[in-house]
Amino acid sequence: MNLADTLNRRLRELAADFSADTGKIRTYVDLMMTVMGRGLVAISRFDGRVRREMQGFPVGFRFEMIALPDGPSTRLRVNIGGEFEPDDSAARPDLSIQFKHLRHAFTVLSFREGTVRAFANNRMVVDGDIAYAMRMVRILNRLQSVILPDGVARLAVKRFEPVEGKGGLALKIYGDVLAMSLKGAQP
Amino acid sequence: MSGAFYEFYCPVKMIAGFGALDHLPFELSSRDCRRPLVVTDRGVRAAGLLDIVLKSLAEAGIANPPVFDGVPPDSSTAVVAAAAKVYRENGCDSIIAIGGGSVIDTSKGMNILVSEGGDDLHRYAGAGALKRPLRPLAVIPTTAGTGSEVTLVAVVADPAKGVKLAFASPYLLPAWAVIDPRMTLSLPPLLTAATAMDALTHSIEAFICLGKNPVSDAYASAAIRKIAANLVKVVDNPSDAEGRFELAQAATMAGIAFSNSMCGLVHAIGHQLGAVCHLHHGTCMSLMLPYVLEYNLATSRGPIGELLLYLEGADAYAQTPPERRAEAAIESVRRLRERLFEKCKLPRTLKETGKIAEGQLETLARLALDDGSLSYNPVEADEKDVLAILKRAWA
Repeated sequence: MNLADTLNRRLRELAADFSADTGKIRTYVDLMMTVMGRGLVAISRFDGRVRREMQGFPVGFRFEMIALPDGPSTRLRVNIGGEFEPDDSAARPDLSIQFKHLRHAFTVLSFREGTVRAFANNRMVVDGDIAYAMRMVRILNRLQSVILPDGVARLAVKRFEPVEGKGGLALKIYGDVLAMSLKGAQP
Repeated sequence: MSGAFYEFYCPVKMIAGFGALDHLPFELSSRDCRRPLVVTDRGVRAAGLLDIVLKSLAEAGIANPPVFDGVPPDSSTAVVAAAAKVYRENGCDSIIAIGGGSVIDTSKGMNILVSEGGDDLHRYAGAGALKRPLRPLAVIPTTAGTGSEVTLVAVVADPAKGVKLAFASPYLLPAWAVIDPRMTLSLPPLLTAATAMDALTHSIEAFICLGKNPVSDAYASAAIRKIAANLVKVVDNPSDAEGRFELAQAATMAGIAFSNSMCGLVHAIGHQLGAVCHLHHGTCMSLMLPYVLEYNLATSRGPIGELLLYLEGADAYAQTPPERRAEAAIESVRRLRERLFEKCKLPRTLKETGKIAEGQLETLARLALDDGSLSYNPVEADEKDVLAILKRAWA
């Protein structure tokens, strides 16, 4: 069994173990929202493909991903350099991806169900311009393909495409996420 | 576990059959509505369809209701505001929409304004912005295709800002969908074919895409059967009222199906063909359907194969080996398109439309990636994939 399979199995065991405990689910979703948010900030700095997608967002564009009714969540804003940065304002986001329930967020963020499948299964709703939402989904797919082991990424995205130079890119992103964590950056 | 969760919602009361219109006054009175505004377009008026409705209303004591017949083929915020003004000036309490997609979307848009107040539609754009019920809306479709009489969405253009405003809310669902075959009898064969191919695509995409569920499957499969059995017959004999009624019911059933399970890549590409090349939406659907089905064989051979049962019937299904059914279903769609071309010149290829240059295909492929319908397609598609599909559909 390779490392990806082992990680995949462990994640599923973890998911099964957490499934009855709302407090643990909330903690897990909170952690994953933070990792996803910081991962998006990092990948918008380092990955050419994501940088091209970012050109489709106007400066000041606000994005939110939230588990209803009151979080956990992650909030980002597009800065003047065309990169994501943490957004701690209370301004209404231009695009909000909302999980209808904490457990739905957990299902997706524990990679038991892909983002697109969860959307098709009515587990989440999009508030905002659909073209922006499609762009954001492509960026999320790319992030998951880069930072997750291939075996786990295959569960998260509709079509997994191997990423050239994945190891180096993933290291850069994890390094940036770690640096943000040490600085205590939001989200 | 991923297929074990779905939602399904359709509170629209269907009133269907010969003379269904005559029930409308009773339905209005059941909600204490006495003064409806009739919203339509000049084509519907010229075809004599408005008179049928007005006569039916007058017989039941609703004489001379105010009529707004200024809806153009592509509605706009200005048209919606003008209709809302007529509603308010006449002290109306409900809306009757008679027409196709543009009339129905205009009526849904004006219903927001007259129910919520003001003239600024932008405040209510997007999903879930409406928080309370709107005025009762009755929809009488005059085409058998869009299914808008049972959908919770509306699209209204704002030409001044160069945007199309999309609205999605359960409160946009009409109170009544009135399916009376008298209202589609005058539809010319080409438009009959194009609108029915729209309904066929709604039902096929509802049946094979990611949002499919057992309830939407039931509506979709029944709609496919009705269209397959009646479309060519009605194109051959436009005064076939029974066949017209079957197609009208199928369009509504397909609307219920796709409103709950959504559409896929045919719509993602078709929306761009309509926007960029100004092709009729149903024609766009017919043009792309077999090519996208072929593309989706990679993951959806099972549901595509099952379509053969609804398209060709039990004998053909039973006589086709299971591993050949998907290709046979696609071939059935191709044969239908060939027959419609022979009978009413519904285009089979992008080139045959005469409205598209081959050089536009790359732009169309790029635009399709930002269309929400792409999310629901069972197979992921990037720009290269969509361009390849468009090239296959070219000639």
